[in-house]
Amino acid sequence: MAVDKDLEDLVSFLKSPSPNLKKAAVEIVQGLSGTDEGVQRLATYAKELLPPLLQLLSEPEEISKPAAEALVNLSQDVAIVDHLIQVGAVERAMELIGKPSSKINKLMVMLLVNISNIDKGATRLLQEGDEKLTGLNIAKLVRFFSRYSSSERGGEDEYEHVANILVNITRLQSGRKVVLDMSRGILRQILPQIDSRSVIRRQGVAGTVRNCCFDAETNLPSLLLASEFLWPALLLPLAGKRVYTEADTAKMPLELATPLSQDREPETDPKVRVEACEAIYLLVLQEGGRRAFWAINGPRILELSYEDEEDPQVMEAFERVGALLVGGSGTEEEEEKPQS
Amino acid sequence: MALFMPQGTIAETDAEKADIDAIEALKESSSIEYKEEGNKFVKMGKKHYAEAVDCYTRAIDQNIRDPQHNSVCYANRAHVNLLLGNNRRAYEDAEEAIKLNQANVKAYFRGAKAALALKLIPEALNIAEKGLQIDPSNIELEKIGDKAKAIQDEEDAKKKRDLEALERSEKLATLLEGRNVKVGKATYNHLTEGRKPWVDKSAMMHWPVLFVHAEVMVSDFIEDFFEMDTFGGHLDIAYGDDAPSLVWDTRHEYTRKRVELYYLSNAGRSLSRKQVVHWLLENDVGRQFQNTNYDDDSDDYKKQRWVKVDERATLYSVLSRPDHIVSGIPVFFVIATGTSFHKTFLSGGWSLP
Repeated sequence: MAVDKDLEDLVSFLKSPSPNLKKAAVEIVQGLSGTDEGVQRLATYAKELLPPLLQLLSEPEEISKPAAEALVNLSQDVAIVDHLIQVGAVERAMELIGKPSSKINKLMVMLLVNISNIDKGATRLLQEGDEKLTGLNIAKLVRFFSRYSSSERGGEDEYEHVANILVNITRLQSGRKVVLDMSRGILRQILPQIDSRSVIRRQGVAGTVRNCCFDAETNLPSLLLASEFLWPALLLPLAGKRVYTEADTAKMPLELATPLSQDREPETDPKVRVEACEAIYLLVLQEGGRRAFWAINGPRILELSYEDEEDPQVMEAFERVGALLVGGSGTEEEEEKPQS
Repeated sequence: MALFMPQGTIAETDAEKADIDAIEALKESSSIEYKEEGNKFVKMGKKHYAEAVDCYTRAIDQNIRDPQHNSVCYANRAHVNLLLGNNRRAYEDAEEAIKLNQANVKAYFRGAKAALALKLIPEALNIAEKGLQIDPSNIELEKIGDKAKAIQDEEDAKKKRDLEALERSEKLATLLEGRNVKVGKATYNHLTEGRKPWVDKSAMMHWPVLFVHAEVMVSDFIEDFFEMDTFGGHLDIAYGDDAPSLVWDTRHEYTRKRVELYYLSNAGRSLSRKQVVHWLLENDVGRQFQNTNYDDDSDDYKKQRWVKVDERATLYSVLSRPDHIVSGIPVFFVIATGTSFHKTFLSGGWSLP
């Protein structure tokens, strides 16, 4: 009983016209949301608590920031996410993201990451129901993702977690459809981020592409027509820092040959390398993907990269792709066979 | 008295009634006579058909109150009209005959025959069906009905094929647009038998491609150039160690290392989507664009020049370049380095014949 009363009061203070009261209340909520017990306690009052919290997001920073942090913490609980979706948290976050001089962009993105972690949330974010709106949220998020990297705003990378949102939504076929839709150009926008300083961005891009490649059978053109960006995004992380000779790159398109013949930073995160390998595996499963991969001398890159690879999980991923390529190009023409 | 009564007035007195009956009897026998005369003329052969028609007409014009008799007259006139090739009149006569007597089987047969001749297939089927309801074992009606059905099935099948072909062409045109590949008037179709690009089960595109050795105007046709293949791969096949030697290349200049590929930028004006769909539908080489009105290049102010192809590039990347207009199928010109022709070609001293 006492618990309810306290929370009841807290919620009414959140709605109070007095800024001091609001600030005090929201800081308490933020504090509670920082512990598991606190979250459980707040969860019992979710229906009443969430709407005023969402309202406070448009207040000045001293109030909106703790409100946002509380919401992000709360959204780690799956039951609460359900409530959040119901009270329009997705729409509210999208409304606020990108507003000039907003201090809670990063937190709003993280909120959407947590919400999109469950199918219902991902579907809501994708705006699946309305044909005219489908994918508009994603397009907006990708725009911010590509435009503002850590170098631009001189400090905080507000949008790096969009990468995680993309991984989440591409678990659904409707999400893959949006990302692979050639007319939106989302794939082309995110692929260059494979070079980013932020490991979150790199992991997100690799993971998103890998997810999308599950549709390689039905959507091969959407992937292969982006070859100019796709192959470098998948192969350069695997190629380490080895500088290739002219003989090696003779048959590779410029977008691969040029970086491979130069000094570069290797991809240190094994997760990125595993995802890249898996994506290539899925592409090469398709005859068209295999043929295209041979045409750019992809197997040679895998061969040399495997030699330099030391992480056991990545090596396993290499071996799986290698098995698919052993037979040669699979076309009627004679192609170079890989040297064992 | 009754002779002078206007048509339609009702006889009132017994005398008038008697008169009308007498006139009616006269008309009846007249009509029957005319009909039989008509029949005689028909038996006399082609030269008398017109006269037969005339007789039947007179028989009909007697306008007697015997629908069965009138039906026969119309049906017989239909018969002669059919013999005369007046199919439209035969059709109308048969219809009238059926109206007057729904049991007149001959009328159905002649009506269906006329409809078939007029290519009114649904009508022919309809009449034949109705006739068979009256006389189910009528072989002639069955035959006509079957014939009409066969024609209709054939037309339906053709319509279906045409619709499917149009659908395929529209789809292909959309795929070309999505790839930013611009197509212009086909110029080398005689060399490639009107081949078109096609799409495989993964919706990836394949092209028939021509390599033309400009120096001697000898061409090499590549049946299946997958859009993701690089030029290098195909050059390996055409000029590599295992390739058959070129008979005309007596000085052995066109070797793998020395060949270069070029395309002519802005080779023509790009076709509208409608024209592209039309071109994709075309099966015959000769009948290309007879109705389409457009010039070759005179009003195209875009500069044309030879653009070198990086052999490591994919076909798709080259075809989708803004300055590349595919003249029906992709054409690439092959020259060899170190030849005098090489200089001539690149300095603009050579142009397409």
